[in-house]
This record gives sequence, structure tokens and C-alpha cells, in this order.
Amino acid sequence: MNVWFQASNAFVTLPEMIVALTAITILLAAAFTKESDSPRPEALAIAGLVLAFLSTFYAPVGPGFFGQVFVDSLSRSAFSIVLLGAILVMGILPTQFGKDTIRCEASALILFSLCGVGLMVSGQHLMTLFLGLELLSIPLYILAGLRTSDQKSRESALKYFILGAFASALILFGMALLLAETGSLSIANFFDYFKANSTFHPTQIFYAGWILVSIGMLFKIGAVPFHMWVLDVYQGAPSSVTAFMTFAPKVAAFLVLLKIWPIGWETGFTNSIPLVYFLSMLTMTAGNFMALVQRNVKRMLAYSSIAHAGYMLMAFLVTGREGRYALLFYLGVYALANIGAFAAITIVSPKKDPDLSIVSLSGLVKIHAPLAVAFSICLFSLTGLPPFGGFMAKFFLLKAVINSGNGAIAVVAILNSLLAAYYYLRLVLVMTAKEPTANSSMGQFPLGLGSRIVLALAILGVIVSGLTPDIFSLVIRL
Amino acid sequence: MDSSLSAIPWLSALIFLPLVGVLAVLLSDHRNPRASQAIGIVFSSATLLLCIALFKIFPNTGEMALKEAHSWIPSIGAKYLLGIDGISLILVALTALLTVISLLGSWDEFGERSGIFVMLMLSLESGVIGVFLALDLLLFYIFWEAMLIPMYFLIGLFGGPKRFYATTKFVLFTLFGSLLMLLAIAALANFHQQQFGTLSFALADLMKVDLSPEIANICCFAFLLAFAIKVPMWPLHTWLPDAHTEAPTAGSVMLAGVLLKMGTYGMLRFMFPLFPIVISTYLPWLMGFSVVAIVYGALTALAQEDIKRLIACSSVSHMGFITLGLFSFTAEGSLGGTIQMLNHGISTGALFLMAGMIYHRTNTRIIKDLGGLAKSMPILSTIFVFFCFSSIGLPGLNGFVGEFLIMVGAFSVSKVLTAVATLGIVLGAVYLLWMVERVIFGPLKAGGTTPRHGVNPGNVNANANVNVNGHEHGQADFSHADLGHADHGHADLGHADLGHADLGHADHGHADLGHADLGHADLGHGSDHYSGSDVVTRTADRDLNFREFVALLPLIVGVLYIGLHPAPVLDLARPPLKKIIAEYNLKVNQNKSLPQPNGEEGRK
Repeated sequence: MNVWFQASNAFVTLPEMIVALTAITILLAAAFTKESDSPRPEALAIAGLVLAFLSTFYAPVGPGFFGQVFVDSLSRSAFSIVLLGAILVMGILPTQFGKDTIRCEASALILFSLCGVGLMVSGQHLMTLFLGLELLSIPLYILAGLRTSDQKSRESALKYFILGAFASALILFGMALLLAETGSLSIANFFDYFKANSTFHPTQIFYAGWILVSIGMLFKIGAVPFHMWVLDVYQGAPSSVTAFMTFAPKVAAFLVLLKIWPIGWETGFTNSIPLVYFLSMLTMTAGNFMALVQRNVKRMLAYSSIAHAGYMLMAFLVTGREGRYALLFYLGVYALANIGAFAAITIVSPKKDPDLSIVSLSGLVKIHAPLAVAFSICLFSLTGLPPFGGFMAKFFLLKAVINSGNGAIAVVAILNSLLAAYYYLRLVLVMTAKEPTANSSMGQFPLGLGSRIVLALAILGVIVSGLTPDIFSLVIRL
Repeated sequence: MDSSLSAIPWLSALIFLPLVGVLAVLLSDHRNPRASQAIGIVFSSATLLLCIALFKIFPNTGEMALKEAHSWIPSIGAKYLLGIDGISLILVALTALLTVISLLGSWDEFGERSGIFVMLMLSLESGVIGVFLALDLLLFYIFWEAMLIPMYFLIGLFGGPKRFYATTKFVLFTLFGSLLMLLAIAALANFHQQQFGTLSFALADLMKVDLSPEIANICCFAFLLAFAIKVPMWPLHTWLPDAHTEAPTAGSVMLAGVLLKMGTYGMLRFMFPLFPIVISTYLPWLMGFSVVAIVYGALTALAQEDIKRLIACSSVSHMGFITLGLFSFTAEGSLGGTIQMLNHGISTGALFLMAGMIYHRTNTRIIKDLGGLAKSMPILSTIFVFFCFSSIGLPGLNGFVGEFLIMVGAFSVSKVLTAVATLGIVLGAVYLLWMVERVIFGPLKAGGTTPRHGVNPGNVNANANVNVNGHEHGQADFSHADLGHADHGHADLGHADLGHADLGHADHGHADLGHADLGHADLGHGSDHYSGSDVVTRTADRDLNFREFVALLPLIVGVLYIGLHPAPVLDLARPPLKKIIAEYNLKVNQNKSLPQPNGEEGRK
């Protein structure tokens, strides 16, 4: 056993192991405690996650499991971001599910999903990547449907599952094509393969496989035109779960794209770079335009998350550290602001009618001022206004994009953030400047301690990352 | 300068003192309007005092003084760089002054929401001062955009009926220009990295960057757009009348007095030094646009029916003068433009403040509903006319100094444009005097004596206060008066007066309230329950009260001081302008002496 551990260098995945062990512990604890004991799975989960986060500083880097995974600073940083985000999400769960024992399942499923993220960010073998993808997705399908009494939630789970399965099938097919062409499933091997055969010209089959895998990942990101699932799933899923969904699959899929897209580009398939350009523009523009006309808060945020995915796709136009750092920073700040926003939504959503229309938030500031202010700060950050983190994220990204000589798309992105400013700020005005409506179903919120702390931490993170963004180099160790 | 003095971070103190005030309001009982207002005035006055102290210790050499440099975002080379010269000092002092004045001017306007109002005003002040002090372009940009948020709320929360539309338009217009400027800033930093190996956003560093003509053109245009929207230059001015009309008085004062100057300041501080060669080719066009703004703004002002809207349109015209002076880019023209920034801040700020006072009393801003104010409120009318004269540019008052210098500067560049611009001065006299005639003189109209019914924030507040106090007698009296004469719709009535004093004299109050004007005197003198300050408020209900007079006094002094003895202010602005112009001329002449446009090697 010990020998095997050393040979496989298994400790490179120490953070993932801790997360998995925590998940299993929670499930066991849930099985062996009585329902009336009101278990606190979140506390256990947070403890495990904090431990996992601390271990990211000490766990070794390098290849592990005989080349199945390769942990470098990039994947470590990405996983650290997701760990921190998950810690915050855990804090919202009690507000969402109350004393329901389903919290145990929810926490464990989120942790399992996290393991999937870990595998995807560090996987070097297409099979490992696929395993990670399924490990990430299947818990999310279940999580989306956790509110079984609600038809929307069931619908979203089913939709997510069917479309997700479709995407998985595409990816698998693509991988099969890649295997058929190169005789290997290891990403490192692809590079060697093409470098060794300088005369070798990748065939159509290779590109077909490459494109299919890319499409699967773009589906997970929610890029237009593979975004159809995003709306109903974000809307129907419990808000705390949506908070997790907005960043975890994105981080994983972006990291996979960072690995596989250079393969195509290095082998001469540079035609796809304009495609990325086009995809990014399409995604941000379509997302923002559709968000403009939404009446439901969660749908609006869903469309805006599509738009943000579009911004982040711009990072692929930039080579080198600058682009990767900008991408990770954007993901981190975006996750913070989104978690804050969805924590606020979880708090104000009435239990019976989880559909939160924009109008029903009217005059929130008169009902609960700190909550409205916190929500507004998250929205300002998503808009990209200084002095909040969203501004720095956007600035780093745009600066990198301009540096790579793509000024035109930067201008498109800027015009897009103007559109975004319109709908984000409108929501802020509705909350702060309008009178509470008679039919706004908000009375007393179950403003749990956990959600309060989460909101406070998210706001703190958003402000700190806006004022001194370099502090994030503690997490993003590129 | 004493070295121990320069060790103190004066400029950071200027920026952060108002923020400490925000914190103080937040921690105090911010539902208590008087406490919040008092804290706000204390902190903004302290900032103003700090400014005055700076006048003493500040060496006016034209170089940036009292510099502060700290590492801020090392990974991209952005630094926390602050510095001040004469131009900055003038504008910072104006900001500090106008903040105190507008806080004083809206002392009891917002009742329970005062706390939020004061916090917004103080954070606005902090952001604007930061804009005037920052020497690092990223830092500058952060202040430039961060101050949008308080302004957004000032209009959105405290504005008129169309406030949502106005505030959204304001923010989107400004964002549009400034986001493009952000891209240009990023591009400049990238070029600095390519040419010098390190990233930097410091103005002094970016000025050394050698840009190819196309790149310089694009970047300069982005800067120009951002600043021109803020000024606003014609034809980008359409957000201004809406924002001004809907903004609360204090918001209008800050917007006209200070925020517009951020645009002209940005041109002077950043656009001219960064892109001298490109801007030198734009100058004739920009002067042309300025003249169009002058005439167009004046003509639209002629047609306005709302006092605030009229002043807003006149702002477009006056800002046109400022840009005309700046874009003539002669020693006199730019000096005039700079002084005119201060003058416009003082006179237009004062006019907005007084428009608010008129509205507060009469509940209307529509010119044709007003009339004969000179009869009902002589002091207010006198001061109003005084500021109108200042705005017109009557010799002996401040406006004249600036406009004269601008004309001298512009005349040396283009006689035709200057001649047309003179038309703007004439028209300025026409629309302001015409407005004065209709509002101040003439027969006493309904609007001048008795407020009309309608949406009256004062009424609502007053009623609310009475309700809170729970004195049913008081409430009954009040509503009686309200229905009968609609005269006492002022918050004054609703405050502590009714709450603690009137109960015992319910009948008395009732009768008095019924008798419009007489009632005031009676109440004030007849009842010893009123405290001294209440007497002041009530007897001066018609005309200026003491608080309002105190708020206007510094502005009156400023108008006369600059009008009669402009030398100290001119001396303050002259050295830095001389430096900016000299650097500009050096670069432009270098460029002319070269056979080909330089910067080819800077292209990648």
C-alpha cells in the first residue's frame, strides 16, 4: 500500500482526498444518527473544506497516479478557488433547507461534485477527465432536483440530466475519435505525437474529435449556442445549489479547455481561433441582451452568467500567464459576487413560491437594509464598477486581451458591460428606491447566521479584491 | 516647505476624511436626521479646513507638490500616486466648499433618510477629491467611476418623479465614455511595458510612451469621449438637463459645481499631456464644438420653462466657454478656462441651491407659475439676482474675469469663433434676465405666494413627523391648515414644533394656522414654548433663514473676491498651466520639425 502510494505519487491529490473523505463521513454520520438529532453536516463539510484548502499549500505538485493526473500551479489554484467558493455555499445551505435532513445529502453531493472538479482540473488523461466530468455532473443533476415538492425543481433536474447526458455522449464520442486517430488518450501524448511526427498532418477525424470534446465543455460553461439548459436549471434548482452551479462547472470546464485547445492550435488548427473570438462575442452579447428583458431575478442572473462566460472566453485569445491569471481571477471574483447574490436570493425567496420576480424585491432596503446593500454590492461587482472586485477582474482580462492585439473584441466587451450595467443597476434601483409593494411576499426572512456570515464574507472578498487585487495571489499561485 | 509638514499625508487625509465621516454616520444613530447632518457638516468642514491649510503650506511652483507614492498593485505596476498643483487645489477646494454648502442647504430636506443622504454626499466628495489628486491613471479611473455610485443613488433615491430614467441615463452615458477610456489606459500601459519593460500607470511614465499615430488617435479619442461626455460638450450633453432636473438640490449643486469640472480637469491633466500631437490636430474642431455648445446651450436655455432646467442648459453654454478657453490652448485662454471652472462652480452651484430654495417655498419651479418673488422674499430675490449677474459675467463679479480671459485667448486663435461665442454671452444675459424678470419681478403670482397642491415632499414629511409624534391635535390642525391654504407644507411646521409645543395651545395653533402669514408671527412670538432656533426658522419661513444665508454667504464672498481681486486665484493656476503648455508646445514642435511622424518604432 505504502509503496503503491509512493509510486503513484498519490498525495498530489491530497486536497481532493480530504474532500472525498469528508463527503463519505457525512453520509455515514447521516446514516447513523437519528433524524431528530438535527445533524450539522455543513459544519463538518466546512471543516473538511478548510482542511482541504490548507492542504493545497502543502500537497506536492507534479504527476500522479502514473500520469493520469498532473497537478501544477494552475490546477491547484483553480481548485483552491472552488474550495473557497464551496465553503461559502455550505453556509447558505441551512437557510435553504432548514432542519431538513436532506441537508446531509446536499452537502455530501456538493463535496462529491467538488472531487469531480478536482479530477477535471488536474486530469491529464481523457478518461480521467471524463470520470471527473461525470463525478461533477451527476451530483449536480440530483442537487438540481432536491426540492422534490416543486415542479420547477424536478423539471430542471430532468432537463439538466438529459441535456447533460447528451453532452457527455458527445464528449465520449469525441474522445473515441481522438483515440482512433492517435492511439492514445493521454493529453501529454498528443503533444508528443504531433511533435514526433513533424510530417504528420492531423486528419479530419482528429479535428472532429477535438471539436466534439470542446462542444461538451462549452456546454458545461453555458456558452451560446449551447446554453439552453442554463436558464431552467438555474431557475428551478434551489438557490444555494445554483450558487454552486454558477462557478464550479465553469472552473472545471475552462481548465479542461485550457488543456485541450492548445492541442488543436499547436497542430495547426488555428482556424479555430477566430471561432473562439466569434463564440465569445456571441455568448456575451446574446446573454446580455436576453438578460435585459427578464422579469425573474434568477433567470436574469442565469443569462448574465452566460454573458460572463462570454467575457471569460476572451481569456483564450491571450497566451501565457497573463491570460490564465486573468481567467482565474475573473472566475474567483465572479464566484464571490454570485455566491453573495444567490445567498441574498436564498434569504429573500419565500419558501412556497421560489420564483422571485424582480418586482417582488421592491423596496427591499426598507424591509432589511443591510441585506439590500449587500445584494447591491454584489450586483455592482458583477457590473464591474470600482471599487469592487468585478472591476479589477474585468480590467485584468481586458488589459490582457488588448495586449494580445485583440482590441476589437475588447470594445465589444465594453459595450456589453454597458448593457449589463443597465439591468444590474435597474435591480439595484428597484431594491433601494422603490416602495415595497403590497404583494411582495417578503415578511420576516429566516436570516440565518450562516447566510449572514456568507454574505459578509462575500462582500468583504469583493471589496478587498477590488482595492488590493494582489491579495488574491495567495489563492491564485501562478 | 518644512520637511515635517511634507511628511504628513495631507492628500490622503483629504480623500479619507469624508470616508471617516461616512463611517461615523453609519455608526451613529443614522435615523436621527440632525445627528447625521451635523456629523456630515463637521466632517465636510474639516475637509474644507484642511484645504485652507493646504493653501498655506503648498508651494506653487507648477510642479506636483506633496506627492505621495505607495505601492498598490505590484503585479500590474499600478501605484497609489497622489499630487497636487494649483489647478487641483482650486478644484479640491471648490469640492470641499460645495459639499459643506449643499449639506447646509438641505439641512432638513430628507427627514429620516438624512443619514443615507449624508453618507452619499460624503462618499461623493471623497471620490471627486480623489479624481483631482490622482496621478496614476488606474487610480484616477477608480475614483472617476467609483463616484458614479453615490451620484447614482443621490438622483435615484432623492430625485424628482422621473428620477429612475434620469439617473440611469446619467450613469450609462458616463460609463460609455469612461469604459472606452479604460481600454485606452490599458493600451497605454501595455505600450509602456513593450517600450520600457515594466508596466506602469503613472502619468509621468505614460507620457514618455511613444505611440504610433493611429494608436495615439484611437486612444486620444477614447479619452476625449470620456471627458467630453462628462463636461458635457455638445452633442453629448443630452443627459445633463434630465439629470439636473431630477436631481435633488444638493445633487444638482455637486453635479454642476464639481462633477462637470472632472471632465475639463481630465482634459487638462491627462489628455493634453498624453496626446499632445493628436490633440493639436483636433483643436480647431473642438473649439468649433465648444462654440456650438455655447450658442446651442444658450438657445435651449431660452426655451426652458423650468428654472432648474434653464440653469442646466445654461451650464452647457458655460461649459462651452470653459472648453473654448482650454482648446484655444493659449496662456490666457487656458487660464480663463481654469478660473471659469471655479466661477461656474460657484455661480451655478449657487443658482441651483437657490432654485431649490424657491422650490422649497413655492412648490414649483415652472417659470410661468412664479412671479413677484421680490415682493414676498426680498432678500432671497436680491441674492438670486446677484448670482444671475455673476453667471452673466457682469464686470466686477467673478464670471467676467474668466470669460474675458477666455475671449482674449480664443480671439488670438480664431476671430470668427470668438465673435460667435460673444453671441453666447449676449444670449446668456437674455435668458437669465428674462427669467429674473418673470420670476422675481412682475405681479405676485399664485406660485409666488401660495404653493399649489400636488406632490409635495415637504407635506408628506411633515405629516409623517406628526404621526410619529402621535399628537392627534397637532395632526388635525396641520391637515386643516394644509387643506385650507396649502401654505404650510414645509417641513418646519411638521418638526418638533407641533410635537412638543403645540398641544397645550391646540386652539391657538389652529387659529393661527388658519391665518396664513399672520399666523407665523403669532406663533413665533405668542408662544414661549418655541425655542430660539425655531423662531428663526418660522419667521424666516418666507424669506431666507439664517442657515440658508450662512450657506450662501461663502459663495457671495467668493463671487465678489474673484471679481474684484482675481490675482491670487490666477497666480495659483498660472504656474501649472504654464508647465502643461510648455510641455505640450515642446512635443508639438518636435513633431513638426521631424519630416515623418515619429513613433514608427513604437508600433508593434
